[in-house]
Amino acid sequence: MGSSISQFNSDISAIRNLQKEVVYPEQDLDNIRSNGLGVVSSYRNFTNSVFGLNVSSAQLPTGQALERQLLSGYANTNPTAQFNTLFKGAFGGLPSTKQTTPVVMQAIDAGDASAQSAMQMSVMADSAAASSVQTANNIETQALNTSPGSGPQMGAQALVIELSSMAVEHKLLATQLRAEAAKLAYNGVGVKQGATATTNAIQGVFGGAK
Amino acid sequence: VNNVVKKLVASSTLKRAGIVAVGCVAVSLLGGTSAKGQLGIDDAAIMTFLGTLNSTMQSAMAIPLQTMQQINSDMASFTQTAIYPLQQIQAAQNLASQNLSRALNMQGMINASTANATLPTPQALEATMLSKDPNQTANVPSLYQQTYGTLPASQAAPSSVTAAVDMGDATAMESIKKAIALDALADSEMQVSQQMMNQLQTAAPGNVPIISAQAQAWILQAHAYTQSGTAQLLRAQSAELAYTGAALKLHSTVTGNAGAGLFALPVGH
Repeated sequence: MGSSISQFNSDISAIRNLQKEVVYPEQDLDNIRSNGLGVVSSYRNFTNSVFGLNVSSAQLPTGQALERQLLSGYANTNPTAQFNTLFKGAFGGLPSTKQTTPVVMQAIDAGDASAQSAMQMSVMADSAAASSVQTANNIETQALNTSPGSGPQMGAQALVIELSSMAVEHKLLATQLRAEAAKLAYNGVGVKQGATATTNAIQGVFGGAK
Repeated sequence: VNNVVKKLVASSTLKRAGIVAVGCVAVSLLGGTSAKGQLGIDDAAIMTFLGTLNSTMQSAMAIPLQTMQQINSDMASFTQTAIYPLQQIQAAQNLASQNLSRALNMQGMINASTANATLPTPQALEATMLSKDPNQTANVPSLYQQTYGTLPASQAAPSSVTAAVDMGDATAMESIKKAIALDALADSEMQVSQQMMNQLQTAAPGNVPIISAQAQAWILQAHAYTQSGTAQLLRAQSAELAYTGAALKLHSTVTGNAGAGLFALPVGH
């Protein structure tokens, strides 16, 4: 009986050593944390400063005003309040009914709406990206301070945020598709208008000759 | 410890020891002749046997069991303080609460209205495009034609032009429908991600990998949706490119016809 218990103790002791020295060795954990903190101190400030790089480039006041709104982030930009005015200031308003046909007016209205929608979405995408960066930084910081048993919690949270981030990408892709559709529709309207004008001209010429 | 006790009970060595002990008692009861007590039992033999048994139990079991208890205690302490300290588990769950709050804010922001059309017909088309309702894709063709016009009649344009316009308009409408679908899928993804983050606020560390696995499966699906959307984007961009080509071809045909017409004129008469 004594030898059985001794054997049992020997087995448990081996499991304990496996846990402490092979699966979760303290020195290795310290190394990982130290390397992780090194990565944070080497890259976080750099990536955050590159991410926040000022890319504004407009030279004229109307362009600068719109650009400021486009690059200011969602917190400073109500997507609908001032945008329309700034957009018109930079790209002009709708032509009057005397200047063009109803279909062309509608096409321009839909095209401008799509362009503005894409611009507003770009503002929100910038803010979503900033939020994702902040969340990623928080998870990384917490991961480097947590225990091995809670590490998978951080991993799971990062994955869930990734899913949410992909949802934003899908919204952006949808916006991109609407903008492409508007471009194609513009081309179509141009050809349709050309065809109508040609038909009218031919009818005018031959009708007049009759 | 329960398992250890069960193992000891099940141990054949222990059973053999029990049988031997019972045998010894029986022999001493039946075979003894000297110093019998009131019940005819040899008290001295029993006391000697019990003393020996006690000594054996002390050396063979108590000391190893004490060692076992130390090892178990050490393992429990290591697991509780180094691998799964409660404070770290709670800190991770609190971070999930913060992330959920951030995700809800982001959803509110990304779903803000971006409707901008000013004329009634484009407004109707825009409302459908931004509806995030796949059931509304059926309305796209009529609203599109009301906004951008129908195909030119056969006598109004060459058949090559009509074909190009038809293909361009079709690709534009496909893109709008795909955009509606992607918006709807994105909403589902956001809701699911919030549900998962909600669970992570209370999930036990041992069960967290299940949520991770589910999140990874959703991410894989999301990559598929991205590929599908990108495929439609490629079709739209290629149709735009083809439009440019069609315009050049038409221009060449018109110029060629005009040139042929000019040179066919009776010059010098």
